[in-house]
Amino acid sequence: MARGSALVSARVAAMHGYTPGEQPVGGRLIKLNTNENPYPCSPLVVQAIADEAHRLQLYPSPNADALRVKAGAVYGVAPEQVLVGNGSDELLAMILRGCVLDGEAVAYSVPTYSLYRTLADSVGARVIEVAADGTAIPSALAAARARVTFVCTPNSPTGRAVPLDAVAAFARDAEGVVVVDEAYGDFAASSALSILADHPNMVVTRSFSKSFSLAGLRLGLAFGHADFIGELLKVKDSYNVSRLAIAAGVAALDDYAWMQSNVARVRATRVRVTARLRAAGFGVEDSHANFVWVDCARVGGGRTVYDRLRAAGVLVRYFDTDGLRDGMRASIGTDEQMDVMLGVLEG
Amino acid sequence: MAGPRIPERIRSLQPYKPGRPIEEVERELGIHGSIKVASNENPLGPSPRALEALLRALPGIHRYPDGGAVVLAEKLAARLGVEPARIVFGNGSNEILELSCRLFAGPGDEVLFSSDAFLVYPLVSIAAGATPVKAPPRGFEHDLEAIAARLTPRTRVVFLANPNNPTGTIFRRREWERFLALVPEDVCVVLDEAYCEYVEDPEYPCGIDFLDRHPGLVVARTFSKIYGLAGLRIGYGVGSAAVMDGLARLRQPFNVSLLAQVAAAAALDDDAHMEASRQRVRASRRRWSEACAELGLDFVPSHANFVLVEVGSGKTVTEALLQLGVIVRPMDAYGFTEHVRITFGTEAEDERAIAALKVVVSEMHG
Repeated sequence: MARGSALVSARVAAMHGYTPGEQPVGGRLIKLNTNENPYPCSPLVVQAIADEAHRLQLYPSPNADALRVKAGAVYGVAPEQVLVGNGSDELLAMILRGCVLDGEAVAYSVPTYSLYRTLADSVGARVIEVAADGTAIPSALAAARARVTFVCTPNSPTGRAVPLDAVAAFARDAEGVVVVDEAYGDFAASSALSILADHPNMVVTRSFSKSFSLAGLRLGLAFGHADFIGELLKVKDSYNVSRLAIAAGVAALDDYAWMQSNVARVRATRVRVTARLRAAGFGVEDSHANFVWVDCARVGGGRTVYDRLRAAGVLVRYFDTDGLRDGMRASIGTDEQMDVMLGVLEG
Repeated sequence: MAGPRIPERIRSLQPYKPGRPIEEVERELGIHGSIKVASNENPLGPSPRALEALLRALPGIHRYPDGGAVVLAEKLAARLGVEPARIVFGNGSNEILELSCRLFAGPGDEVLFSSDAFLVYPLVSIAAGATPVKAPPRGFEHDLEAIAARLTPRTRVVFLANPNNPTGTIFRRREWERFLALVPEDVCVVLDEAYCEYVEDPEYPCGIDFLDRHPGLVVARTFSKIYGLAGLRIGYGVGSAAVMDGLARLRQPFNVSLLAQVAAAAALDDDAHMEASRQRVRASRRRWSEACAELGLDFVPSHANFVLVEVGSGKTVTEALLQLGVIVRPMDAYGFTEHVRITFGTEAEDERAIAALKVVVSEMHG
């Protein structure tokens, strides 16, 4: 029996599931591998979750209305322009399910967030990966004329940000949907939310996992034009966001200053870490996110450095992918955590 | 400037209208102190152990959850007597239903279910690009023979609910075994057991006992009902390791929150809470049977935590009850225009709902 792989569609059998960063259980490792915020979330969020926990037997608001209203007010859009997801990953998946039919193109430049490939494969899309060419958005990406194009800015794992005028020019010429993935947007200097009104084909996604210190909660937002968001609601699971996530999201936006203060600390550490690594002879990209991409070719490549750091109790991320093997990505932790990493790399 | 193009199959979808939270209904009507007996939630709430575990986990909320939910999977696996590799967790069992459909069915394929079943089945079929095929029920029950008669070479998925929502009826072992023997091995059977923990009928077939008989069987269960964690969003699927591997590829890497994982694990340990929840439903079932008899109303004997009551016009009675602060669910979307579905509540909630129904019924007759 159990010819399970013969049961599933060829599409799924051929897919590679996404490989998440390692989540060690217990231990005293310094975890710099999944771009989490080293600082805790706002106490208002903790209080909101504790309060809401007494209503857990009740289903949540199907569309997370309270959070749509709050996010609309904070980000300067109508509540109908906001879609709330079980993490921004779910929102990316919903956009593909809503917009892409079998065989239609999904495009993005590489290297970037590896989940795009998994999501595109899962809907049977034709995937067009365009190699980064040093420009803000490679011209080959526009030439792909894809149904959906992902623009990750700041990009993972490089930390590069795409200038707003380049995003705007690309969206203006694109026929398909342009998803501006701003999971790391709060660590950058600008946001495509400021140009969203000019581009009916643009969706901006944001995450509470990074800047708001809520990776364990699963909460993300997508911003788009009301008609488009209304269509996406149709492919949404009926109750996709938990009561706790809705309450926490509202509280997190109420205490926006808490997030900004954590972001400022991370950015200051980022500047210091970048300078120290460069002084030690490493090539380091200017990062606009909460991590740095470090060129390790001189010292044996990403895997070698990962192993050295791992032996010293520091967990970073390396990618066994063409074009990325020379480097490693280190999330920005506290100053003390980064000093441990720097101590190993400078030694 | 043209907006994004949405495929016709999505444009024409009529989204599922879920029951709204009591806060929203009260705000809209400007009322307070109403009771909601509409969404089959557990009136006792979750186990206190689940809440404690959740609050204890809060300091770690800035970290991603374990994407594989390993600790929870091992605990649940031991409890169910299956390998952990045979379990996949979802953001509610709704996600398991949706992923199963997407895993097996696409354009040109058929998805088969009873016409009196959960409205999410046709929706996930259409969203996957497949064609929904409905079989007529037998009275208020799934007619497994009629469903089997509609199997075609294009059938990829069959959805069955046991107990069924909104009727609360079950099918029994012999009928199920006969049905399973008729389903080709390469067809996925999704057995939705959201309400299984409430069933006390000795002939009720537990889906997990049949995993080895049909490689494409997916048993979907939830922590939203008897575990009282509907607000948290966690459910699971049990099936062959190969099918579960397929579901795991399709799901988001971190689809179940840290808080849901720890709360569900703690809830599994609280047998006393589960027994108390069952006890409550047993008492409500008896009370509603008496009340319906007293009011002269027909109802469908229920194996779940709700009852479908024939009231004449479901819509009118729902609205009248709402004016009295009692929120129930009209069932016209399921074709039961003469019924309302009432969730079993606390003793006080039951009494208030019964008293309100008494007022509404006597007004209609008076």
